[in-house]
Amino acid sequence: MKVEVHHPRPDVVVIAPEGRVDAVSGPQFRELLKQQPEQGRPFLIIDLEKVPFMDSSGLSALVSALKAARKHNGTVVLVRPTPQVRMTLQMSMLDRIFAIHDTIEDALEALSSLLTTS
Amino acid sequence: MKKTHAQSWPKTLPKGWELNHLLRQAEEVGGDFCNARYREPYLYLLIGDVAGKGPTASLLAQQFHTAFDSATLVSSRAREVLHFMHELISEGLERADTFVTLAVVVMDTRDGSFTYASAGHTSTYWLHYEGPQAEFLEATGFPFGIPAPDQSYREIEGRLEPGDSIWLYTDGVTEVPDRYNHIFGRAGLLDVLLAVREASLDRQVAAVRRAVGLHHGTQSLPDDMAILAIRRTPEHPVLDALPFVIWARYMQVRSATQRIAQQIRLWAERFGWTPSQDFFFQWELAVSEVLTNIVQHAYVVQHAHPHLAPGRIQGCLLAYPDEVVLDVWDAGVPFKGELATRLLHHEEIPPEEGYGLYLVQQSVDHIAYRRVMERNWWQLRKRWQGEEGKHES
Repeated sequence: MKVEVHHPRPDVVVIAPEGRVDAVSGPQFRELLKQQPEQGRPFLIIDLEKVPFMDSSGLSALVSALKAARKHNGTVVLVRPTPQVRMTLQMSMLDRIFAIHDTIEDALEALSSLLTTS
Repeated sequence: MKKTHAQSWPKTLPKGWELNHLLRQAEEVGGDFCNARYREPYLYLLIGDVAGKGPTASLLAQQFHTAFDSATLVSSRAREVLHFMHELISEGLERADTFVTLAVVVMDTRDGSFTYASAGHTSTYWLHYEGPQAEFLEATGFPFGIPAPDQSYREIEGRLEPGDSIWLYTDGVTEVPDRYNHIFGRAGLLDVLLAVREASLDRQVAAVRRAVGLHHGTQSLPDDMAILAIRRTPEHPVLDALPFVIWARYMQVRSATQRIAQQIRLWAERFGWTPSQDFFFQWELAVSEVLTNIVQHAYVVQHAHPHLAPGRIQGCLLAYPDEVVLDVWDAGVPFKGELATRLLHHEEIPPEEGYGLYLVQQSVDHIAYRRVMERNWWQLRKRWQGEEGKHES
């Protein structure tokens, strides 16, 4: 799985995986997400535009990242999930846990209050 | 695949019967043979294995075809067919200094009653659709060419109910080794037969061939191989079926999931189904979760130790007029968990694990698990019409 990573701010990371997130790619994705808060980037924006399919391996990775982020007073937000990913989030009721935004700018905007006080 | 030994193959069969065979010879001339002859209302089946290979074995096999053809004219009972063949061929066998195992089935296509007799041939399964269950049919007499105190043959009588099948095969099917030198075995064959039993017989035979190839690691097999199978078509046959056999490895789970998802879309187009987009997403998710669950739990030891021979997963995706069904079988450790899982997000941070079966449950109309013949059998069902999104949005 290809993953694009960039940092619009030192404490924010935008992670954009490309491809299926399942048992093949899930563990690698999970590790990548988890290490961000430990490396000083506790605010994760995960761009899911190029993830056509996600199963419970992907959900585990997201929740594990949220746990790690919260430990460092940060959070995880999701951006533009594809229809299948959105359905999976809804079925698992994780759409109630993660904020979901239409664009990265919206996500940054939503995080801004947290960022200024962090 | 050569079919030189199946010359009298019936061109048509009575409605409600399926017949299929596979004859593969490792060398130009081989010792495995099979044949079928329909003399209304009886269907005669023969399979045999001449010890050794080469021109002598091949020549003998040819004599068996001729003897079989004649024997079908004189009796409609398997033991008599076998006995008559023995009378015709014993002299030639003595000269050839070899022995032959063979089995004969005579099926009355009017009601499915059959007789079975076997001269030392110990490779026959009778698969019962109900249950499902399988019986292994033993030899009912000595091989041809072995001086025996008693050359008479006993007979097994039975009746094929709709959906039942009989599988005659040679040891080239079950003795194929993998790279760890483990043979495919009767158990391996039965794994596949149970999993694909709803598919049409030609698909079933093809699935067995693929499973043997997967086991061996290459499609080029070391030995002769013959399969001859007959099935009484079930009362409610499937519209179509996609059998699959994979190693319990994540990459293969991914490929199988994608292949299955694609097949459901193809069926939707072909049969004019018009379910919502979520129908396809839910199927793909459910398949991925069930197969992954088998890798992680049923084959937990193999998964943790990749140097061990991996477990195998086999199954069949089935199209019915009103629903899609997925049967999945594995020979791993029994499932101990709860099917009816619930998600409780009481805490601010939900659990990291435990979504898999919950997602399956939410994705399909029906999920069932049974332990059958020391194997795990998962079944998912989902109606393609009138389906409603089950998840809360």
